[in-house]
Amino acid sequence: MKTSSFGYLVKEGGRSLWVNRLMSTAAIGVLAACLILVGAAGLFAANVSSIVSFFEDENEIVVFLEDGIDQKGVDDASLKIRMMDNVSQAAFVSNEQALEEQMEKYGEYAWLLEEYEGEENMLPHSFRVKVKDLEKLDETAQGLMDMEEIQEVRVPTEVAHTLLGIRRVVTWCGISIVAILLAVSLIIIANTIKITVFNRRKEISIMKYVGATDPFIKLPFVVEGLLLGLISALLAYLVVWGGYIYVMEWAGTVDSAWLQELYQYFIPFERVYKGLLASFCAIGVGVGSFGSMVFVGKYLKV
Amino acid sequence: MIEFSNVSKRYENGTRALENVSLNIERGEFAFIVGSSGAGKSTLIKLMLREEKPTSGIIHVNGFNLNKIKRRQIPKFRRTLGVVFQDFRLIPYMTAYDNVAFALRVTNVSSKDIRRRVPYVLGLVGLASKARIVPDKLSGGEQQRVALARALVNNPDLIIADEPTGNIDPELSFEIVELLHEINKMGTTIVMVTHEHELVSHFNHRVITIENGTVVSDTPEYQEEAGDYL
Repeated sequence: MKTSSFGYLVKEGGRSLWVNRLMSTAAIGVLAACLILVGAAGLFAANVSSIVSFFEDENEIVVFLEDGIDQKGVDDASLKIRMMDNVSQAAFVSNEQALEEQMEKYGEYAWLLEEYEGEENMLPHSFRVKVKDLEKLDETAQGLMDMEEIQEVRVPTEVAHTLLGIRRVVTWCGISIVAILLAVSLIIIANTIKITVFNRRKEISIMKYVGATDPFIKLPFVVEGLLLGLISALLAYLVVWGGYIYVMEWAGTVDSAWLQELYQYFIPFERVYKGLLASFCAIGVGVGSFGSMVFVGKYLKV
Repeated sequence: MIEFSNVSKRYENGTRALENVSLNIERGEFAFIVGSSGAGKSTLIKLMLREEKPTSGIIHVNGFNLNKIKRRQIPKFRRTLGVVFQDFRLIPYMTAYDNVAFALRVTNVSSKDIRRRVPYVLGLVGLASKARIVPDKLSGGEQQRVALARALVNNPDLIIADEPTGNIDPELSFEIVELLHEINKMGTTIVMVTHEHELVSHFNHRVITIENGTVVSDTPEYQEEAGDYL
């Protein structure tokens, strides 16, 4: 195909989008609406997941070292703990620090603990350990228990299992909702493109009669589908962007303590805009051009 | 130019459209194909255009064996002929000029040649002044002339016209066939399917009569018995 022919066909695709603007508007509307639903569901799931992640990060194992352990023993334990695969962070808490923390908690009754200061301190040294993967919490706790320097490991098993449950539900619900919406969108979009092509089947047959090759006929339709997908993607992106900013601003001003607490873990739009735009464009362009190519193919057997 | 040897066509629903048809149309001929509705004329045209494949028999058109032609060769074959239909089949959003130019664009003709050739052909059919008008704004006769210009623009050796006067006024019908007649005089082979008795008798060309899927008469010029089927 000559470059001039290619240019002509691309131009024809753009022109056809305008000439068939009623169907184009319908197809853009349907595709954009589907993308908005998919995007909104995806962002909702990502935000819930982000909040759950925060709580997971706050979840820590407390490791008590053996009574009377010397500095070398503490250093050995520190090294062994940090070397464990699933450990993301291990903060040493000396018995003095632990006592101070307890006294702070006691507030005006802190004097009750004063007699345990210095040599009388009965509290053990400890480590506060954060794990990378909550799923491997039990395994990691067992590894810690097996160390000779450690006398006790306190694992927040119940909280961890609850969080894991929430994360699983959020993940699966998110994936399912996005997958269902995507499937429904594809069916609707496919039918819209099918109707668009069906309305122009006569035009396709004319092209065949004057000796146009299949790629020559398909290219303007593919360009048209591609433009249609791109416009829909940009439109959906603008709506999702505006909607997200609006919801974030609203959430920031609502007079609710728990919402304010959660607000700081909402994902800022700046962190997701590239991925969102790229996904919308990929879905829009892919569905538009591939859909056109497939359905035009059905009318080429003349 | 066109050769049908013992061609039969049976559709999947069991309809026997053509039965053992043999005919030969030579280069430079003008042949009317006549017959009543359902006689098999449309099937004959579809077979000539390789829109359908015969159930049996051999078809040669413009040097192509249509039994053996590959799908990807069909566009190349169709570029060797011009087709005119009863319903004009013009692309509605394209101007008369663009409809004609389209037949050249599919063959990768340069823009310069398109600009030179299209006005010339539109001039031949008397539509030079209406080049920038879309089909909806043209009369039936004018639309058919655009279709004729599109069929002519590639300089085909053969023009197949399927009831080209079926959708236009009787007086304009004569103009269209007159144009085809003039084109034929320049050496182009014309095959025209029609119902119109007056046209066939007026132009006095070869008449092939089809009835019930078979050729019942083939006369070098119009004779009264052919008119019975019109």
